[in-house]
Amino acid sequence: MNNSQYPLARTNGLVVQEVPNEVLVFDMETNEAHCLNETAAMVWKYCDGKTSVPQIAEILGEGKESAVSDDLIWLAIDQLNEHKLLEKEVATKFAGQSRREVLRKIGLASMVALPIIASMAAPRSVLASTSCACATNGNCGAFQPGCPPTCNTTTSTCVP
Amino acid sequence: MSSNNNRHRTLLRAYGVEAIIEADDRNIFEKVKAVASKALVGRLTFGEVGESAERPVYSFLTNDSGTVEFNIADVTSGEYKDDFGFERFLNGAIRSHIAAMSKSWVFLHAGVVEWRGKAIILPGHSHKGKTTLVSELIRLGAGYMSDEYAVMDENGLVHPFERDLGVRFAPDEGPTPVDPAVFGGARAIDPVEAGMIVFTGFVKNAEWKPETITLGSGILESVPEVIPFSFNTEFVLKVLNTTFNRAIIVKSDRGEALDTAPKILEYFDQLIIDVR
Repeated sequence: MNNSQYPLARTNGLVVQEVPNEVLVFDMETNEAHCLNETAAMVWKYCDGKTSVPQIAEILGEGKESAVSDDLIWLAIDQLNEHKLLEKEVATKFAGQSRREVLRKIGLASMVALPIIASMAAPRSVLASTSCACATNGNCGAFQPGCPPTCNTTTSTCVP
Repeated sequence: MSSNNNRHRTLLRAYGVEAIIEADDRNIFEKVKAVASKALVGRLTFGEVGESAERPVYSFLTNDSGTVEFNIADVTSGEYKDDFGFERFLNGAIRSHIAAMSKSWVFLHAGVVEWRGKAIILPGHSHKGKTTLVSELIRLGAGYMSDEYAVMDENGLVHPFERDLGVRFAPDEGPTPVDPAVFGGARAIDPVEAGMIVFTGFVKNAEWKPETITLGSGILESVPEVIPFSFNTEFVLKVLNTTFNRAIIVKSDRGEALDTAPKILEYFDQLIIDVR
């Protein structure tokens, strides 16, 4: 079962590290790291292919003064989709609404922190950031992120 | 092309990594060993190559036209040059390769100083003013640990990687090695726990306004600076978690290093007072 009502978290190709109130996920396929805040991490945790979106909302709302809306869960799922953290992309229910509109709507009413997933790309090169030293143009630019693109072979330094 | 019989070979061991250095020219062989020694701040040994498992090779071999070609573990290759610029490149290439291959250490591109018995770590790429800020911090009495890497062990302790400071005297020039003693600084010797992680970069006229960020955000911010992240991810995440969990993690733009360095130390001192 993996329809939009029963989202399933992806597990293959991911390295997961739990830290207090957050979860870090490194995607070996895209070479990107993601940091899920507590709400996003909780939603991801319950994306087990058996728990529906309303059920996840119910779980997150336990012990809170007011109910957690399905929209908040969908907002998390929308981001999990975007970062390829679900087994299959699921159609979210925000048709015709921008994320900003949804955020505004949920943000005013929610007793739970909005789900946030922040991401960062990891360097692929073994020689990433070798002080912008180079032997050829190939050692500059993308090979050493943050360094200028051209190798000045006289000084062996990447230059603009 | 040189035959195998004419090759000088040695086994380099550093930070749990083994690599073979081979060259068919004795002078080049000795120079490469010296560069490797400098690149790894003397924390290496050389030994017999033997016949055991396959290892990465740093080769410096003469081709049919008499040119010496280098190949660093199939990561980068080209023509060998006998000059300071190439030596600097080779230094960085060997250091980065060992850092990337290490299974028991994590290398985070960062400036590091020791202050009040803790490490202040300033993660960041080259050309972001790390060395300038580190220089000012040690001028104020902080112990010099590194202007290149925060080297962390499996227990999350931060070890010195105390090469000379790489000071750039012009934006398009490579760094020149400068002894930290020039700035009045002492080199820290022992590993210490992290006390503060500072994500900062120079922005003209910016003020130092540190904001604490979460542990997860701090680890995420450091991802682009880990050499490289994807080789040993589980271990890297565990070590960063252990190291950063003991520290305050802050983020702020900054102006000139001269103005910012005292504010960083004052901020850290205030944190200690607040904790007590």
